[in-house]
Amino acid sequence: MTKDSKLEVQEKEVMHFSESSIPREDIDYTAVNEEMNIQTVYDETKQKDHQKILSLIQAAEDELADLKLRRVIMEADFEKLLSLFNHHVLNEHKISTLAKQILIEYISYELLRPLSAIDLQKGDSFNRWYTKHFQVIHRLDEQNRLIFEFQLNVLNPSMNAAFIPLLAFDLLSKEVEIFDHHMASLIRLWYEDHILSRNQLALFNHDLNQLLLYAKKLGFTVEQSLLDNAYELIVNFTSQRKVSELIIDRIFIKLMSVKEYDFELVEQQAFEILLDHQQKVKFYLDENQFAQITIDSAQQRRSILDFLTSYPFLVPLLIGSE
Amino acid sequence: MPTSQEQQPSFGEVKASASKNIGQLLQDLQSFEHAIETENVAEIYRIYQGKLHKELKETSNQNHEIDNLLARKLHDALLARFEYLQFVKKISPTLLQYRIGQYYHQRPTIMVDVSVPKIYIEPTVLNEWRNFNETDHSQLKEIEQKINQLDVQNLTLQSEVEELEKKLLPINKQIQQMAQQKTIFNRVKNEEEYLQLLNTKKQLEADIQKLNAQKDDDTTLNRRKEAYQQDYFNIQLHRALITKELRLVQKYATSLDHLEAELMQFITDYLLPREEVQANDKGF
Repeated sequence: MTKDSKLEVQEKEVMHFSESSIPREDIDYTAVNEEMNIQTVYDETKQKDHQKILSLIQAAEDELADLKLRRVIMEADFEKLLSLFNHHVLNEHKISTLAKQILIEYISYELLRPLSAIDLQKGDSFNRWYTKHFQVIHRLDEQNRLIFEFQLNVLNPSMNAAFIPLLAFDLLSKEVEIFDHHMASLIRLWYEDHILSRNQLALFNHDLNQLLLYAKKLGFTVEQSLLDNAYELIVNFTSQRKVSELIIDRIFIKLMSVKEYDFELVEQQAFEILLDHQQKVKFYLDENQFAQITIDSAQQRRSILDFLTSYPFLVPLLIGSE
Repeated sequence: MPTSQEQQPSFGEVKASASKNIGQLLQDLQSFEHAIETENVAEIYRIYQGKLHKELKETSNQNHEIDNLLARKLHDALLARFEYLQFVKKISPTLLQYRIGQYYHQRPTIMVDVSVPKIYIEPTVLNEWRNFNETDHSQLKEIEQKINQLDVQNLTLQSEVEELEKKLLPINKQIQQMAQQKTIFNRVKNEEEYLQLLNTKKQLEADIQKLNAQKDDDTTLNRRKEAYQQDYFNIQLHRALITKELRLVQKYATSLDHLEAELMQFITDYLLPREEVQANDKGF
């Protein structure tokens, strides 16, 4: 906060210099003119030039101030970047588009830093990042939260997956929101569209959780999320479509082929899937044949992506029949 | 006549014998009544299956009263001993179906014949349980092979067709050429050779047609493949079912042999003669 006030002082100093020097000459001339009472065209032109010079000085000073701001941004650590963001973006103090872009880019880099392990690189356009596994776009939303959107790399470039917004950093309150509901898009890209592989999603889960872990280290509060590996999963879903007997049959076949798994008929339309480590998936078919599902990872701390990529045969239960 | 007179029993003897028979009959009836009254199962079976007169048997069981009594009695005793058994249905007054626990795609697996009485694993099921080998996937592999064979067979036929079509091409050309060189009298120069070519052409075309007839078109091919895939799935599902059932057998009875032994032991115990029946056993 002290650094902010220092910035204001800098601006004022400059302004003070221009106020004190120029008007003094101005007054001198007016006095002479009034005395002589002769107002020439020349005088008017001169006055216009004077105004022009004033605005040129102002523009140059603004530019200089912005250059200095950019220097401050470049020299800033993460905390300083956040306070600069708070001052210039949230409180709308003067900042050029370029300086703002740079400020946001630097903050983004700090938040994405763990991805350097997978070759994090700045892309061609101002808000795009590349890694070995995916691309990231950063942008501000209407509430000036820093949003990260992810697009996983695909083998077939013609099948480009869309950018999926997953993380929102509130830089003032230092809170991170995770858009869990977009998880379904990732699952569909894998299981239905076959654009992504199971392995890719498992890797992505790892990378994403590195980011969450790092955000916590930076002092952010990360909202509880299904995508976070830090929690035990206890979550309810409704299947996206009807679940046919064929889907249940296939799950039954799979479960019976593994000694550690089991499948229980609880009631006519209610079932229980028993997995390893006491993990359970209960579900029943409602009157519309939609599955009402409860996933319980018992003591296992894992994200929904981790869970589903570990037990891919359960995904049809969430998606339903074609 | 004297000989016949000698063989003919006296009236006294006849009377004594008749009285003795009736007496026995009455006694049997009385002890049957007593056995039913006291619910002495072993005794009921002994009398009912033994000496009770056919007519009496039929009369007493006119509306399956005896069957129902015995069924209910056996059912209660069975469930008291094997808590995991679940009643499925009665398929006749003396034949009851049970299963082990509750499971997906459950089916009756344990049969109870009340009339004998006898308790046994349904023979088809027992056969499936005994012969099941979790690691043996030969049945599934066989279907996979059949699906592959379908493709191979069709591809072979296809290439044979193409081969013949390749042979046909120059022959057609030759025929065309000779036909163009017909003389003014509308006759080809070398009649014999021309006819021979036409003949070969006919033969080749017939062969191609024959091969094409053996070949499946795409829809038939897909239909046949789908049928195999359905078989494949059904076998997988049935294997999963048997696996589940064997897990339940193991869970409740430790092994299939042990289950069979326990069921047999139950009937033996059930038919052990009892001296007198406790008065409190009248809940039925």
